[in-house]
Amino acid sequence: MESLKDEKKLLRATYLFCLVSFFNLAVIKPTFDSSALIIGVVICVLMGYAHFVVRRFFPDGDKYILIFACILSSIGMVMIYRLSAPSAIKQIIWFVLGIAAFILIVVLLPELKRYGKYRYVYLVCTLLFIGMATFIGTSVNGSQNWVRFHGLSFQPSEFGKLFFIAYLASSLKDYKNFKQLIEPACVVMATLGFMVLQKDLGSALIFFTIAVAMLYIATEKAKYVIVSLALFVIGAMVSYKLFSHVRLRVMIWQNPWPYKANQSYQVVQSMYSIAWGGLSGTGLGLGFPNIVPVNIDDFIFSAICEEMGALIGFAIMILFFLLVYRCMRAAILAEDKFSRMLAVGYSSMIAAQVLVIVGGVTNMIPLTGITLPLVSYGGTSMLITFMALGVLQKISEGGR
Amino acid sequence: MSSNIYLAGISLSGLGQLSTVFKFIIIGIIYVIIFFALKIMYKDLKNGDKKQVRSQKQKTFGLEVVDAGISKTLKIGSVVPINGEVTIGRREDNVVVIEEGYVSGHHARIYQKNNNYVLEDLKSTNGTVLNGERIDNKVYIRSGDELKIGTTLFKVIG
Repeated sequence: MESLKDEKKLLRATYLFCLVSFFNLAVIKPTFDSSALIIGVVICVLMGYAHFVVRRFFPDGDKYILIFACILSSIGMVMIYRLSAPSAIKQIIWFVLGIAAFILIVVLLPELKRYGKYRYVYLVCTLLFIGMATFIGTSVNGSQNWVRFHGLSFQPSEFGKLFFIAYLASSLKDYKNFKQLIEPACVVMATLGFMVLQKDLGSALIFFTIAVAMLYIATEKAKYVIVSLALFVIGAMVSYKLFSHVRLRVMIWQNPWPYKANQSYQVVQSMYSIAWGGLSGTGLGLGFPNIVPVNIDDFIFSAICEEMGALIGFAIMILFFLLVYRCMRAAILAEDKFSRMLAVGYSSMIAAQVLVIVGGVTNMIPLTGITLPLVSYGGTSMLITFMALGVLQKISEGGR
Repeated sequence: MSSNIYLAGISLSGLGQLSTVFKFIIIGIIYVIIFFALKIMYKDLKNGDKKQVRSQKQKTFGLEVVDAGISKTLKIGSVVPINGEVTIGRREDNVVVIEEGYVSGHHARIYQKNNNYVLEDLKSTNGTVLNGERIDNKVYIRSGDELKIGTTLFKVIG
């Protein structure tokens, strides 16, 4: 079959990338580091197995969603291994769990159309998860968006995001007149309010982008988009006046250089790092990405640009574009409105996250600490992204 | 002592050489991946949103008419092959037309999903009966199942 040959070709190139990069990582250590090679092989086996399962049991679905997700995660794991080997091993565990969640969702979830009616369940879950960190959260790197629970720590707003999209999809799916938009609008505003209170501005921006994208797809009216953009500008101005952390971010964005030793240290180091790498990078192990703080998390994009080159940075953007394209394609082919809205929501979530963080580390927009989906180190983010992709895979199956 | 330092210097510079070569290989591979991916997307767009052609290995199913009931349109023993989607009902636009009062306009459909065939009752008035039980919305069908629509009895063969 023609498409199987193409998929195999793509996968083989990915295996090659994985093995070459991990071989490179193995030889740059003072003594030959065989564990790097083992990790490379393990990642290849995992990717092959996941593709086999999807191919064998669910041939109707879109196979490229999983392949692109695997390519992006393997780029991420190469860089994380270079920066901190123990984190890379943890990341592989999260990668396995993510793929397991992906396959479980595809296997266990019956038709999505049925879930369109649990609108208020989603509403309650959204507010629960999003509000949670405001009351019992702990501060990490300046934003109060982590919850510790018996030694486990996670970001509830990430789970909230999934429910938020499900809620919007089910409430916008039978849109007829303006009145039906009032309730979702209130929920969106409450969500954004909580995010600003938790000082999690990046998530607020993402929630807003998702809401506008879904609103536009549901109503097909540009005037609502203009109105919500106007509201956003007003909201942004009000929070600029009210909150000092918002003012600080904007101040750094406008001119980071005077404060490069303290407030804008992170973003200035990130820009140095990207500039030092240049077009083709310094080569793995030859740069100084450890100077950039939180380099395996939010600033992984600048670490990748430094050691693997801006060309790989562009490649990551292209791969994300292709991934989002495949997801949007699932939305176009979806048979019912709820699945379509859900697919639009999840794919715009991934797109928004990429644009916000890549824009942030290059100081194009005010920097807000969020993860680069699939590439960054982080269990919650990995799991959430794979769950969203699982739902998208399921939707792509239904397109007939 | 000095030889040790000398060795460290060699290995360090050798190392640098390796990574500077590897980085171009890695960039090359990534762009090959993107090239393949774009080629696939191009093919996909050229085909429009037609479903991919199914492989020949997959099993094909058919519906054999066991009892034609009171309708005159079907003959006992005739076989309807299931390719993609088969709709059953009283109206003319169905694939299988059964002209009798107990059958709804658009009564049921059978379609393929992930190597399996699914029978869906399209909210018909008198229901669709599979192996003696009235089905609720959708069920998977297997070879040998008996399907009753109105007074017509089909057997799934494959």
